[in-house]
Amino acid sequence: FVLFLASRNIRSPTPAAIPNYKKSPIRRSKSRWEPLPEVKMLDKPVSASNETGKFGSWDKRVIMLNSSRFPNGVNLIYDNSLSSFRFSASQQKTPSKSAQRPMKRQRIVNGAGLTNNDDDASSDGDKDQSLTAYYSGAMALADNPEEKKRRESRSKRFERGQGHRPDINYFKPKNAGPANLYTKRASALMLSKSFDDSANQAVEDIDWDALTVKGTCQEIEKRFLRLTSAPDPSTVRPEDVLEKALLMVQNSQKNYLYKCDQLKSIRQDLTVQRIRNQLTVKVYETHARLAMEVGDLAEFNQCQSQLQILYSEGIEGCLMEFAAYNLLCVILHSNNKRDLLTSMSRLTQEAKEDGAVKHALAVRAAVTSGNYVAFFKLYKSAPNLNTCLMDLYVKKMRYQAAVCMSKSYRPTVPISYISQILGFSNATAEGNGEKVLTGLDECLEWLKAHGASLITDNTGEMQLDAKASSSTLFMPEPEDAVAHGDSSLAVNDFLARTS
Amino acid sequence: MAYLSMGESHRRITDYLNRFADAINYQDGDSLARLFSVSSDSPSLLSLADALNVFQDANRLIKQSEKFSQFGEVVAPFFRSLQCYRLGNLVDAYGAFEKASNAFIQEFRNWESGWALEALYVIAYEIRVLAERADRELASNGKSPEKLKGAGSFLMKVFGVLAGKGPKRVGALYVTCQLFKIYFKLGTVNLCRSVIRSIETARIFDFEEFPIRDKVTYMYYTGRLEVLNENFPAADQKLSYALTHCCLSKEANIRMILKYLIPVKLSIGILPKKQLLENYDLVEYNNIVEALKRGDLRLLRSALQENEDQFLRSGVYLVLEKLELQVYQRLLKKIYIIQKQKDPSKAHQVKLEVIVKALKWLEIEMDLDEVECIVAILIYKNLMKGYFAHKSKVVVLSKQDPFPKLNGKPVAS
Repeated sequence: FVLFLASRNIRSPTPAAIPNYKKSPIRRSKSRWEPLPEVKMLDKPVSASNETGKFGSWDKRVIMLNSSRFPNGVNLIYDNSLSSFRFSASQQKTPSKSAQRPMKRQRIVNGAGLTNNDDDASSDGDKDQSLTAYYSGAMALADNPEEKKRRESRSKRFERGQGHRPDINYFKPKNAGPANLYTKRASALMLSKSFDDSANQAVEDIDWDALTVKGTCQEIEKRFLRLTSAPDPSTVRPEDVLEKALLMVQNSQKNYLYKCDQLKSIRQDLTVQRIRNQLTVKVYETHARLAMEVGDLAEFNQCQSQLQILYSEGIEGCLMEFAAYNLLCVILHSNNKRDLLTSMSRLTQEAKEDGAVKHALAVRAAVTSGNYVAFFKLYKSAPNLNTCLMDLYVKKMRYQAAVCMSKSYRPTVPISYISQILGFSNATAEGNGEKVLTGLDECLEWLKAHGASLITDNTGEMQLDAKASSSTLFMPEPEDAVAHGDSSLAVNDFLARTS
Repeated sequence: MAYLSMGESHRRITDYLNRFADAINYQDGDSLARLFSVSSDSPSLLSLADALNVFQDANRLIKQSEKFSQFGEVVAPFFRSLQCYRLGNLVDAYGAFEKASNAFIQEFRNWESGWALEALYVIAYEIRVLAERADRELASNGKSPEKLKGAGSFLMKVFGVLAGKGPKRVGALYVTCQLFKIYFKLGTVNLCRSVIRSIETARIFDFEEFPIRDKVTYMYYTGRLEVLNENFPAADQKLSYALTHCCLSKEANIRMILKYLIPVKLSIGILPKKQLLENYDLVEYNNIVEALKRGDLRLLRSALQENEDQFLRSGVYLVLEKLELQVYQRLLKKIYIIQKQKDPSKAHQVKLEVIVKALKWLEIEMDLDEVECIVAILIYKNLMKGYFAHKSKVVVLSKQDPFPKLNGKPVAS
């Protein structure tokens, strides 16, 4: 079978070779890949000597695919270069069913590979859906070398995006001991090497550099249109124009939808021209910050994961700022202690002394010990956009504090005090009367919404009736709950309507 | 290397082939096992490797006789693996070894009894160790270290082969432990779940049937997982099992178990004796234990910082950090005791400012609000019985047992 495939024209599979495309590929309960038909291996030792990356020549890949290493087997009929890449990608992602669930939870924290990878030409980045699109278009597209190149670079990005956990410059260097073998920069180095070393990437010996588009478009403003085929150079903007475009977006007064759209378009233009430099970093940083400000976590995670990769390639940027964001995400959005320990252990001394990172670490300590006073103090003094990330935990923290206080205080606690320590009032003690009232009102609203029992004392001051509240407090249903349960879908829906 | 003649090489290879064939034909599991232990660097295997590299055409020898050729699928790649290993080419050595192992498994499947389990254990072990070394080689060449992950997949297959009704099933726990070691090394501990589920819920497995050595290792790793998830009662149970059943002479193993058991015990209020820490070189816990005894928050924090890297790497940092609350409890109890000595009738009322002062003596600056918060948390988590009167800023302690002991239960979360 090996010989059969090696000799035929790889580009056009015969109808006999793709019987399974007819079947519905969605929701397979078992492995996606048909069991490997018996293949007689040529008696060649598996040598890694002239393989610079995972995806060397066709021979190597066949040997790899045939190796007993892959328990799910492989469909050799799937002849396109994409098959092996996507296979390896899925192999990495789902070594076993049980791995899928923790991966899903991490969706919020590390969007790498699981959310839409940048400029992924397939729809939604969801594996099933992209495979569906692929199956249906397989015959038509297989012949097109442009499409092959698109798919190859797309899947490369897919693969890279979910590589090891971020290996970034501010993490400890290689010689930190054998235990760190799997989190070393070496893997990041390998990733960057394989990306640049185009000659060895080619399935057939296509010169990717020659195929990389060099844009000529001079329009600063450009809507985002997802590419489904090789781009027309006249629609792609060159680097200098993209710089102006970024500036335009940064200074624009328009809303997030507009900016997001423009930025995605800039990102796509950068990607098709394979521009990976400080401009690219700036674009992703800008987009990440904007996304964070409006609470678009999905987009933020996408940008964050791209940034980790760019930083690991040595490109300059606001490493510390985003290191702090990364930490806060791990702390506040996942219960994964192991991830937290890993993130903490991989901070360099320099990172630990950076203000933003220090702040993030202090937030962690406060959250772990349930110290709400410290938490809200840190909230007030948060640098950069750390507040935005903390925002997502504020409700939880306030509720924990309320429950705690109801149990331990007797007989009552002044609402003014609660309002102050739970970060409701922004004004200082002597602040203008108006501001203090707003914070207090907000606090009252919040307490009432959570079932607190309130009384007024004989001086007219509002108090929390601690004893009574300990049995009446409750956590209400989130108001932004959507019918199908996935609130982030609502945001994406909204964004799709770029009118 | 001294000059090795073709004749001598030929003799060594045939010698090995004979021993291999005999081991299988006489079902001599121990002998067979020894024939596979590549990484042990045994003189006999090393000299065989040299012979192979000189002779170069071992395959011809294998095919020459029916006695040998029937195991050709196993031996040929094994020879290749040994050659590569000897030449320091670990990546290829692993690849070939995996191939040989695969062929071995196919044979193993057909053998009725568990006579070859020892050999299987050696193979499982070698698969892991060779993969680790191969990955080190890959990483040092700037490539992605993926062999260990592959080894994990392979061992899952082996597990599948053992998970049946026959006598071979007692081998499953050993393979499980190898898998644990791989997953812990890779940092993919979530993958342990499926294997654990198989061992603990499948009806074919009776935990008591497994060899004691494997049971101890299994409990150690599952205990560590419980520590990671902060299930202290479960962690205590498992790690204690490992400790009590571990052979006393295996000091290194006992030390490893204690490394994780001590933080767990501390979390449920049980302190180790200083002698124990000294005997097993776990002195990094000395100051922590001291801090708990004295209620010295400053000491706890400095101890955590001093050994931060070590604690983070082993994963006990968060567990130790949580001990802060117990340290606070001890500190407040001391204040209470002192007050009781001075004036028993008023002792149960502790002013907030007194606590702030005590902390100041420990060089810890905390404002009233923060201390109030800590007090509230202590009461909330039942480390103190009583209540806090906000207006007067006084902690009013219960007259009976104001500082309940943990009594083997972790602090409420």
